[in-house]
Amino acid sequence: MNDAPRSRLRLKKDLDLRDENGKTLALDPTSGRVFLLNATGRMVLDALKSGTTRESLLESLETAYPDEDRDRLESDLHRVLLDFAREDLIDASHL
Amino acid sequence: MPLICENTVVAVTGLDAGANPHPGAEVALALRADPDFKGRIVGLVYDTMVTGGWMDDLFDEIHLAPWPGDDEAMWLRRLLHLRRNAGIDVILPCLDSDVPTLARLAPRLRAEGLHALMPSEKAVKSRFKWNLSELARRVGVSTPRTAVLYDADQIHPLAGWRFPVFIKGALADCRKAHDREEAAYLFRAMARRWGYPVLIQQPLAGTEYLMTGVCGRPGVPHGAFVVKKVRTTDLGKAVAGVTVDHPHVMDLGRRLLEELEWVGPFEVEFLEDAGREDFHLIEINGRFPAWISFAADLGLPIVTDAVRLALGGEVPPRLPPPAGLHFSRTFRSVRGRVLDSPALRAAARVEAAENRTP
Repeated sequence: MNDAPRSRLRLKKDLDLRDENGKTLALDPTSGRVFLLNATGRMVLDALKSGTTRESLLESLETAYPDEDRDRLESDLHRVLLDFAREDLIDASHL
Repeated sequence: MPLICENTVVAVTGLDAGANPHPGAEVALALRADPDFKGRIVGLVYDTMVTGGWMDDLFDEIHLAPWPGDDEAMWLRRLLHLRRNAGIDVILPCLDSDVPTLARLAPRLRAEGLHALMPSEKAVKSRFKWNLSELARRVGVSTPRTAVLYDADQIHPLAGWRFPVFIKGALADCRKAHDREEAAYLFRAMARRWGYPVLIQQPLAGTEYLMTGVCGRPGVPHGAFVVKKVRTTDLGKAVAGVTVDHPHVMDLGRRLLEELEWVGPFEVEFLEDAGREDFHLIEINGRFPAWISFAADLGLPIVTDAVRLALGGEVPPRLPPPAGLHFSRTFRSVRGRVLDSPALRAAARVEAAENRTP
């Protein structure tokens, strides 16, 4: 896993969002696809809107989930970022 | 006539309007058209893109239901959850594939205060497509030539069959095959989707009649009337029809329902062959047809009556409508913001409740 915080990660496009019972429905206006995000996914998404780094995202997650193991959080974050890259929401080359 | 009051919640399945439109939206329309119906209607969808899931003028709420063919335990769990959390009092299954499941679950659901006007399991099985010829024989009604097959290889040795033929799924669905290769392909597709057996049926040319209504007491039709199909889709589904006063079709239908001791909504389909020599039983569906709002338009509130009967109420006799009244089904577009989709929001609620979604 690449943990070097060299590149800023940023959403490539604005998503249309709707909150529903603690989940977020997110519409990609280009593909028309709808994603369902949990609270962590939403937190990552919000940070990616203004641009962030992997390290900064990890720190935010550690603050939000102080009891979670850092390796587990890092692994989850990597998975979420890969999902976002797969959906062409962020630039995969920055991962 | 007692009102169906504001706190009565009726759940309806079968909301999709594809090539083979489901009746659920029409059932909801029929309820909405009845001034005596003041209750709430909950639409149950198995997929977030089911077209009826967008019709928030018809449905007060949309919730996710199991897929057709999902196991009974899943259906029971989900319906009891909806009984407790959405307050549903009555369920009107509007998909052929829901009927066997709901017939089995009805007593357990009733014990929890969720009512479904359903036939016995024996009645449901007796009108399965592969048992229809035997049922028709007992009642003295003809059926089209039909083969019940369990293997696509059985298609090739079939002698004396003329193509095209209909390939019918075990629980629902029907496609036309124009040669043996297409028949084998459709056979496998039907088996994958609906299981075995798969039926092959020789199409007959003629005039089709549909009898619909609801049985509150076993085998006794209520509010029944007959429509002649005047226009169909490529799949043979009625898109336009005319009410007829046809005592013979009504008599055949009554005999079949009586033999089955049927309970619940029904649609019995007959075909009078082109030579006008015989009437053939095509199928018996254990649900209202996909044009049932026509009944409400005719002042025949049989869908509301089905709700009353499910709740154990009484209903007055209903006279059939006069002959010569016409319906024609049209499509209507529903527009809205994707993220406002009631079905998508229902999916999010299910995910939230089950704490899934990475």
